[in-house]
Amino acid sequence: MDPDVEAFATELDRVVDRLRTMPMTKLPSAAILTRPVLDELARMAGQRTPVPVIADRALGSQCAVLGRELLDSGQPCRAGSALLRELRLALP
Amino acid sequence: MPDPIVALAPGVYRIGTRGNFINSFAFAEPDGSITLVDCGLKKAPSAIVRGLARIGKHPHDVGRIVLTHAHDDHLGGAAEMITAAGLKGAAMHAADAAFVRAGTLPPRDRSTTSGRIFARLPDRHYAQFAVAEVLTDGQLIDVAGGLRVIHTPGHTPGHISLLHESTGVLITGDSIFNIGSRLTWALSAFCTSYEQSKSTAALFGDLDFEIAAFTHGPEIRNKARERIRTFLTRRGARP
Repeated sequence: MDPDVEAFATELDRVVDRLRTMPMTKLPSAAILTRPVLDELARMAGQRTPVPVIADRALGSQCAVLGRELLDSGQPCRAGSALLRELRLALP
Repeated sequence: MPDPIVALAPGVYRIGTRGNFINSFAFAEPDGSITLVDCGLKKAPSAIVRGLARIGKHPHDVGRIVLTHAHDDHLGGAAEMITAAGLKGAAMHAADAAFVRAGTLPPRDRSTTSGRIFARLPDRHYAQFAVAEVLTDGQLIDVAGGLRVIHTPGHTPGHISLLHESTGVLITGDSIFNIGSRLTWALSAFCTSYEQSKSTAALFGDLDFEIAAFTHGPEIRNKARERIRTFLTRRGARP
């Protein structure tokens, strides 16, 4: 596997895990940081429509879907890895 | 649905345009007019109008719109609000006004991996609007007793923070986020200069304020100045 793709997939898994296991009380705060990142992942994958705002408890699943779409788009994902890493470190 | 408008001080309100994820602010004048700070994303005007209605105001009451910086989550709804208010345009710092006049967005920080790659992506689009007033560092805008402009570049070149001196409300803009009980910087990928954004936020440590309000996140009402100063010191932005 391409090392950039592998790094992105690893970082995506880490962020998704964090979001899916996060206490409900922390999710609204996490959403403040996560939603703009989801917008960027969608933009990198070539989506032109805004990412819909859904319930905070679905942030992890939404991140997983958008990350997978970026991987499937074949677009370079090194920036995505860096962004997800920074997000993970900033999450509450 | 949470109340879209929260009173911060007499005549000063926070309007959550996506919960408290993206905030606008309203300053009520004694004559009944409103100064609006930031306009959120493209679809934010409906939340702003709903918030204004809760304090008995209509978009026609908005006499001035101030934008903290030229990112689409702050100016996406500007064109619609300017039209609804019947204004000629918005007020913002000259450095970011240049991007709005060109119909572009400020560059990303090329010292970061993500910033370099994002720079190659096409800009997000937003509805065009006029800049009717250019703001400068230190300027006291004639708003509800005076709103001080503090140029805090880095997040964007023309990023400003605002201090309402009479009520002690500081609007940090995107210099600092409040994610729940924790203060943090904006992610570097969304800054023009991440390092500069952190260093100019240090200015907050020298200001007098009672309430810290954020464009992203809920306000801090208790020991706000102390908490901001502690954050800046711990993150190495001030000694």
